[in-house]
Amino acid sequence: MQLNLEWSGAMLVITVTDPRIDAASAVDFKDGLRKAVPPEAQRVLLDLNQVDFIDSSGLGAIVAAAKALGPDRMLELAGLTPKVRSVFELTRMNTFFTIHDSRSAALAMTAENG
Amino acid sequence: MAEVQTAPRRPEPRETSAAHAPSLRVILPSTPMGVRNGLCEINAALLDAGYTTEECGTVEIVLAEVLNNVVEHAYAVPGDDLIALRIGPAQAGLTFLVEDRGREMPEGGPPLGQVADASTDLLNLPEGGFGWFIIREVAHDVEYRREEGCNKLSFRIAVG
Repeated sequence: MQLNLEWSGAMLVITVTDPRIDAASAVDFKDGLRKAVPPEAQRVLLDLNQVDFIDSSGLGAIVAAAKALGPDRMLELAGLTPKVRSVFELTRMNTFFTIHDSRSAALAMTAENG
Repeated sequence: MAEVQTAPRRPEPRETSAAHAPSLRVILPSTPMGVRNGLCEINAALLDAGYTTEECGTVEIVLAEVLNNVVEHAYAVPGDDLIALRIGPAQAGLTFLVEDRGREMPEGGPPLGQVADASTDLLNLPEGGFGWFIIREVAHDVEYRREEGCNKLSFRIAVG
């Protein structure tokens, strides 16, 4: 599971470069995310624009990653492709996450707030 | 790798969709990668048969959940086990039959699945159990039976 990390101020942007987060890759993905996020990251953005498909294992891994950040830090999402978006909507998970249209939209929000 | 056999195209296209209903038989190894490869091949076959990307996505997520459940729960121990899948035309959509020789479903049938309670917060969300919820949300006529040591799960998805 390939994750690209990039900092934008205090926000860590994690881009998933694999096309699928599924049962075959979810454990790897979860471990990768855990190792990727240092304590100093105040905001973490998961950019999924290269992910074509996610199943319930992948969804569970994202929920686990969000919980692992603790109550004071949020895992935000960006760039949901159509199939990924529909799985979030089917399971109502879209109501629990801040979802940005794109990474640049998420960064713009930082600029406004900052 | 999964083996996919596609039946000859039906001579008359259906009026309701650009898709011509395919008949597919797929045998796949009961492993996460076996499921992934099988899904990709089925996706390609359905796209080729004229189903839209969205329809293929609908089929893909339901099949992913059904097949992963077989890998993780029915067989549980990775080995040389196989899962057989048939896809055929239905009155409204496509019918699916998934067969395996793994353990019987507990309680004699498929669970209801769960979805997050809207009143909870992210830190209290479940990390699993969404699979059966997705299947029941999207698929129709879900039926399970145990016959001669074989699990048979059939359902219909309204696409095409």
